[in-house]
Amino acid sequence: MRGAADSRCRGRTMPPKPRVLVTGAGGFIGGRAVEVLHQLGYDVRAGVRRWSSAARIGRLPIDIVPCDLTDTRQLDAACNGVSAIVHCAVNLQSLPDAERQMRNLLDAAARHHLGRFVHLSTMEVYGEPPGDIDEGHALDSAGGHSHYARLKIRLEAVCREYIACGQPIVILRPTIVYGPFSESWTVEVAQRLLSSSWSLPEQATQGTCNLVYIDDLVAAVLLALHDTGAVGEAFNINGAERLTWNDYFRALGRALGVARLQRRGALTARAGAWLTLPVRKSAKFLLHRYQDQVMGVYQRSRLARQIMRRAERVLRQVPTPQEFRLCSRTAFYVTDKAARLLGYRPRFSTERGVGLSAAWLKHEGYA
Amino acid sequence: MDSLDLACLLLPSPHVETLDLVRQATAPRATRSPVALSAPAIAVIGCGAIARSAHVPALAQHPRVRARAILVDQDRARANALAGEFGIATTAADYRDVLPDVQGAVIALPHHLHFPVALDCLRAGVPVLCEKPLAASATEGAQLVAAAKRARVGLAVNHIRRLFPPSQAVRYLLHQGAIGTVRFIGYYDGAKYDWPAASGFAFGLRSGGKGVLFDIGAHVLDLICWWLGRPPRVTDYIDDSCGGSEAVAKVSFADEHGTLRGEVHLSWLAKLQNGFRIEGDEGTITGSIFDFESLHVTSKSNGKRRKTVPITTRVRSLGDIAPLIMENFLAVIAGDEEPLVPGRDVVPSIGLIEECYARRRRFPMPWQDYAS
Repeated sequence: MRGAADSRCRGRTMPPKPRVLVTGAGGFIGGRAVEVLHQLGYDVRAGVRRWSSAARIGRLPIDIVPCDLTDTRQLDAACNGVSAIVHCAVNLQSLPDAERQMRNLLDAAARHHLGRFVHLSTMEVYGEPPGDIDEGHALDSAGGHSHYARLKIRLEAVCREYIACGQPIVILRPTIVYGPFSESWTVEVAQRLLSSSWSLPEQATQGTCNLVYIDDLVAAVLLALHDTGAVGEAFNINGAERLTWNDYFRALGRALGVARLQRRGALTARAGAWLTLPVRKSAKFLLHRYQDQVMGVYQRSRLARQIMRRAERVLRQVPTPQEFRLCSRTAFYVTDKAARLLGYRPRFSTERGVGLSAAWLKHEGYA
Repeated sequence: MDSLDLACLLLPSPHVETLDLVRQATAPRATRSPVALSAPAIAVIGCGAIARSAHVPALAQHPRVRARAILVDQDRARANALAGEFGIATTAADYRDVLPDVQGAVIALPHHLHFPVALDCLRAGVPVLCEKPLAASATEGAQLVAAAKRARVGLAVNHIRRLFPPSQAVRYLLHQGAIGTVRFIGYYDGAKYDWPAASGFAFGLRSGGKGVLFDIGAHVLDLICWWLGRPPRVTDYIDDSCGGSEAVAKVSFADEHGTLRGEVHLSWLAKLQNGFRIEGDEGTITGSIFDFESLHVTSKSNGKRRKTVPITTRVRSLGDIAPLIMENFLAVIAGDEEPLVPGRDVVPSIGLIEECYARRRRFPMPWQDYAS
C-alpha cells in the first residue's frame, strides 16, 4: 500500500464531473449519493455487495457493479477508470474483518491512482460527551458504548494511516441523517408514531436530536469530492437547527397527520425497555442463526404467525434502553469547520426535510 | 360455504368449467406413463437463485430424472457447485450443446433471455418449462406458442401464483358466482426486494427499463386475467423509473364496458398490504397473498357478515409448489398432461404489461429531484 500511496499527490484537483464509485450504493446514504451524482451529470458507478439491495438505485440508467469489500478482484474492477470513491458501505462484522475490508478498498484506490476518497464515518466516534462538540474533541478511544462506534473509530484510524501516506482521503462524520429511505430515523419513527402506542415518554426525549437531512449530507459529500483543502481532514456534518428529539417526533407526527402522540409514564416505559430486552436478543439470535427454520414455522403454523406478529408489534413499540440513552444526550455537533473549509451550509430546515420525508412515506404506503 | 377443500385442486385452464376441472385434477393418475420407467433427460438452463431454490430441488426428488439431468450455466463453476449440492453428474456452459440430448428444458435465466432461449429449445423439439415472464411482448409470446404447436411439444410457464391456495380459491368462488358480477379488483403486493439474485439483470442499465411490473406484475396481471377469464384493458399506468427499472408501479384497468375497474399496486421498496379485494354485486372477497389457509367472504346471502373461509389444500407453503410444477412438467413431457399454466394462457397478460409500459409516466416525486 505504502509505495502506491506515497506516489499520490495530496489534494489533487478533481475534474468538474469525475467518474465516481459509490460503495454501499444499496443503502440509504449511498443510494441517495448515487441519485444526486447521476442527476448532476456525474458518471457514477454504483457498488453493491448484494444484488438484492439494488432495487432503489436500479431505477436509474446507471452502471451497477458487484463490490464486495472482501473480493480484491471485484474492487479492482469497480475502481478501474474512476477518479474518486464515496465510501458508504459498512458491514457490521468483527473489527478485524471490517479493518481488512477497509484496507482492501484503500489499497485498490491507491492502485488505481484515485484523486479523492470520501469516507463516511459517524458522530458516534466521539462517544457520549455533553455540550458542543467540534472536530478537535477527542474520539472515544475506549469506544465503550457500542460496537458500531468502535468499528467506525477503527476505520477512521485506518484512514488516518493512509492519509499519512499521502492518500487523498476526506472523513465526514454525519449526525442523525434522516429523509426518504432512512430506515432508522424516518421509517421506524413514522411507524411508531402511526401505531399510536409508542411508549417513549416526553421527559426522556428532551436530548438534542442533531438532525441532518440526507440532501445536506450529500451536498457535503460533493464539496468533499472537489475541495482541495479538505483532504486529510475530518468534518462534522449536521443540520443547522438545535432540536430536541421531542421536537422531531412532533414535527414528523404533524406532517403525517398524527394528532397526538401517545405517551406513557417514564417508569413504565423504562421497565418495558428492560423487560423486553431478553426477547429482543433471543429473536435476533434465532433469526440470525435459524432464519429458514423460523420462516418455515411462520408459514406453516397460524398460531406461530400470530405470536410472531404480536411479538414484532410489541418490540417495535417498546423503545430499547439504547434509545432512551440516545434521546437524552445533550451533545450538539458543530459544523464550523465544514463551513470554513468546505463551504458547507445546510439548506434544509426541519420543516422542509420532514415535509419531504412525510410525502415520501405516504408515497411508499407507510402512511 | 363453510370451507373450501382444494386438497388436490389444480386448475390448469381458464377455458373449462370449474367442476370439470376439479374432477380432472383429482382424477387418479394410474393411467399416466410412469415417469420412473422412462426418465427424461432435463436441462436446467440457468443456475441462479430460482434454479437453486425451486427447480433443481424439485427435480432431484425424482432419482432417475436427477441421474440424467444436466445443469447449464455460462458460469460453469456455478453450475458445478449446484450440481455437487444435489448429486447431479453433468453440467454444461452452453445450452445449445445439450439440446440434442434432452427431452425437456427448464429455463431459469434472466428475463430478457427467456424468449430467445425458449424459442431455440422449442425449435429443437424440446418441451419447455419457462420462468415468468415468458416473453417481453405478446408478439414474442405468440411466436413461442406457435413454435410449441409446430413442434408438438408442451410449453409451460412457472406462474406459481396460480397455485397459491387463495388464488385458486378466488377463481373457484368467482366461477361459482359467490359474489355475483365482479365490479372491482384491487391487488397490492409489496416488500423490500430480497431475492438472492445471482446477477444484476433486473436493475439499472441491464434491465432494459423494466422492473417490478415485469417481475411481480407478470404474476399479478396473469392472475387477474385468469380470475376474470379474459384480459381487461389498461386505463392508466404510473411508476418511479428514472430511466432504469421501476421499483414502484401502479396499474389501473377496466373492462371494455366500463362495468369493472381495478388497480394493482406493486413495490420492491416497501411492504404493502400484500392482499387483494374483489367486489361483486353480491359480495366481497378479501385475502392475503401469502395466507394459504383462509380468505374472507362477505355476501348478501350471508347477511353481509364477513366470514372467514378456511382452505384445505396440500399446498401449505411456497416450498410445496415447485414439486407440483416439476411433476406436471414431467407429465407434460410424457404427453400425459397439459401444462398447469400453458404458454398460450399468459400471452394476454404479457400484452397488458406492454400496454402499461407504452403509457408509462412518472410519479411526482419532489424528494427525488435534487435542488443544487
